Amino acid sequence: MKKWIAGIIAAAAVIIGVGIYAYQAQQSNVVRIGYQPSDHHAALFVALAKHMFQKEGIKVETYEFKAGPPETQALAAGKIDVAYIGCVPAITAYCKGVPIKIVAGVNQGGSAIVVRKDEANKIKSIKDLKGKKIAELMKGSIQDCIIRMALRKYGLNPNKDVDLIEMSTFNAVQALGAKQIDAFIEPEPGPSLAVYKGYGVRLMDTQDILPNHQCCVLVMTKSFIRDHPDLAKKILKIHIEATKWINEHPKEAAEITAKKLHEPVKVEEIAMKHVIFSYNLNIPSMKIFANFLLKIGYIHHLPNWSDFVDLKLLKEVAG
Amino acid sequence: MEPVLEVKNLVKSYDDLLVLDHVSFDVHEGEFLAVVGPSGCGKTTLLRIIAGLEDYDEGEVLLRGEPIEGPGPDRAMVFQEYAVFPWKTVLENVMFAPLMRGLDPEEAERIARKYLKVVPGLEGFEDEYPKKLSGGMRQRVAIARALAAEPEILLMDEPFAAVDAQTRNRMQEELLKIWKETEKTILLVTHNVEEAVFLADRVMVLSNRPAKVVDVVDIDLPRPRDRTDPEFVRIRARILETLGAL
Amino acid sequence: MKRRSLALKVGTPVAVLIAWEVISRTGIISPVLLPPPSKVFAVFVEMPGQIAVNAATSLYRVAVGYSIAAVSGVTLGVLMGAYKDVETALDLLVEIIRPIPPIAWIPMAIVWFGIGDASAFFIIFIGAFFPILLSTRAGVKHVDRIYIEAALNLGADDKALIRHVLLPAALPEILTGLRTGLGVGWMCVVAAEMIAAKSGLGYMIIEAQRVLATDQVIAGMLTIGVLGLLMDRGFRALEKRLLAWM
Repeated sequence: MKKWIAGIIAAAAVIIGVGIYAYQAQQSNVVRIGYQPSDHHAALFVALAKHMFQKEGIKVETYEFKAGPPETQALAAGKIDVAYIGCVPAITAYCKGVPIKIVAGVNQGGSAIVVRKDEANKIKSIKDLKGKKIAELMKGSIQDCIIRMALRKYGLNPNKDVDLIEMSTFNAVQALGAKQIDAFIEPEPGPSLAVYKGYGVRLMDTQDILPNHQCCVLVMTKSFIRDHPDLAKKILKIHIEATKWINEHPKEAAEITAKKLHEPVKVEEIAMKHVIFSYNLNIPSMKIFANFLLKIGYIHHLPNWSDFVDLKLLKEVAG
Repeated sequence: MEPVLEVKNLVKSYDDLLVLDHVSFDVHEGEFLAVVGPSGCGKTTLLRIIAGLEDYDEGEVLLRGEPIEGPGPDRAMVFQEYAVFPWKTVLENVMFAPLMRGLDPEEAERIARKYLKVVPGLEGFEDEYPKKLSGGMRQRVAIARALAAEPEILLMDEPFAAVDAQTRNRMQEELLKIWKETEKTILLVTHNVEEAVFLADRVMVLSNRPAKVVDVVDIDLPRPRDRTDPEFVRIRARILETLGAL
Repeated sequence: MKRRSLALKVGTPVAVLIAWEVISRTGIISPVLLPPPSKVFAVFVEMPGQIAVNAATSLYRVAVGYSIAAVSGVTLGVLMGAYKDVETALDLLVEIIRPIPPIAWIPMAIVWFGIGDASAFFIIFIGAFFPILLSTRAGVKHVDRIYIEAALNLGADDKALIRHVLLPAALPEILTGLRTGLGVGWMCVVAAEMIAAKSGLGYMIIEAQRVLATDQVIAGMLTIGVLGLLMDRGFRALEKRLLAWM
């Protein structure tokens, strides 16, 4: 019997050992960046298209995620070092103990509620969404948070009065065209594409719900900032440069984004006008989101903002 | 008086293999007829045809003058293997045929209990499952179950072949008691000549395949018969001789 | 020997729990990725109502989907096992549909039945149906011919043959199929709820995962495991009672 216990302990030790080894083996000089197929992350697409990482001598690997929640899982598991991600999943992850910091803003606004064309005359406000089937990017995403805030503001229970279902942006556009859903809340270029194709009508932009709200942010793991401060600064510098470039060259930025997302340039030109590209952060709006997440039970305490949002690097790089 | 069962010129073959070659015989009311023959001669096939479990090629099988049509409880059979249903208790097994006749459960149970009394040794085991019973006991259940079908003729296919010699002798005596009590007509197939002579009014001897009737022996000995009685031994020897000459 | 096996049976899970707690507490693996067992068990204390409601929802879905699968699987299985024509007519169809994993039906289930109970019923039905059908068919085909002949001989018609012989004789295999089907159905409900429902244990897990509540995810998984174990144990006890005759 003692032999058995010794065997079990030995097996456990082996498992732990292999786990630690596998964990350590993750460390290398390639920067792994997560993003989503949305206009919000155009700064990354521009940086890649303009070979900005190469010019700084940085090797990057990019990983596409359907939405923010799976991206936070990759951050937690140490599969990526840097993430272009919505501030809502970032807040949730931080509060659940994922060691990350927000180092800069990516965009503000940039999502919209679109209703099916043949329902547009019936759905003129948020409260008309009662009983409707609404696609959202994913539970726990920024769109999920905003639609819940909006519905509750109009006295609707997001869990009972509407049917919220998860759908990726381009699937939601198709589903709206096929009349399988009544409305969606998705990031650009989803709304512009649905309008362009004649499937739907823009009910309101998320900016109309919470003006200039923070949307996506640039997040880095604490270990990446600690172990590779120089790389972290370079990534941030490139992000600032790319963001400025988008605002200075909207047409070319639309072309780059269109190519990356396989969408018509015409659509991207319209879509990107609905997104505010800025590396600065609208912290008050993030605090509103955090309070709301606490209220609906997604998080159990508020983040320690001074630890979570680290603007030292941004000040150093941007001056 | 019309015989209970008439078999006329029965022919049966499997593909090219002739098994029964123009077999004819009658079984009369209340008679106990035993059929003996070398193993594999086709006597079981003969019984299965009478039971309606197998087709035949030529000839006639008449039960009370009517041609048989498929299997039926009027020709209830006791099989060589223990064919009692293992998922039914002794009582449920014996109730089976009465229920199939469309009787309500109370009436079926009454009939079943009657035959459980007729077959010795079953009382007190009504609610047991067959797995608890010995081979001999299971065959007693099979006999009670066949009797409960209240058949015109009781068909028995080597019913005691699988039990030990001592049990076999006892069950043979029991069978005679049952036969006397119920006045059933019995057609029994066996390869055991002593068994045939001990039990039957007449013994029909079949030849090796293809089976033909080669001899019919009347056994006029009084019952209970003594297996050591010179006349018994003589008859048994005569039949064995007939079989041996084949 | 008995104490030794008990020590092993309980000792291994306890050792795993302790190792797990240590790994998680010391931060060797981040508590987000692997919350310590103490935190997982706290979930049961913090939100027993939510877990109970979701578990009840999942159980209800299994009850409905599984019942439909059980009735149709056993019925069709008996018909396919008993009638050659039915088997010939359906065999190819069954063989083509059977290898499709239940999960692969989810997209079509959503199109046909939408998000909710009906889709879950359908997926559970698909998952549970085939093990039940195939076991029943095999069980019926394996029924010893002697029992069928005995029943026909005693006057059973097709209906009685199915009820009194084929079903009880095939019951051991049918029950094995039903138990396997229940296990598959339980796995299917979780899978279906992850995609095609907005309540139940599967949905609870996905919902918790979206906001990185990994302690709730594992609590949900444990609930699924324990309920699955209880169902299997309950079914085995039922089997023992139903098969007392074996």
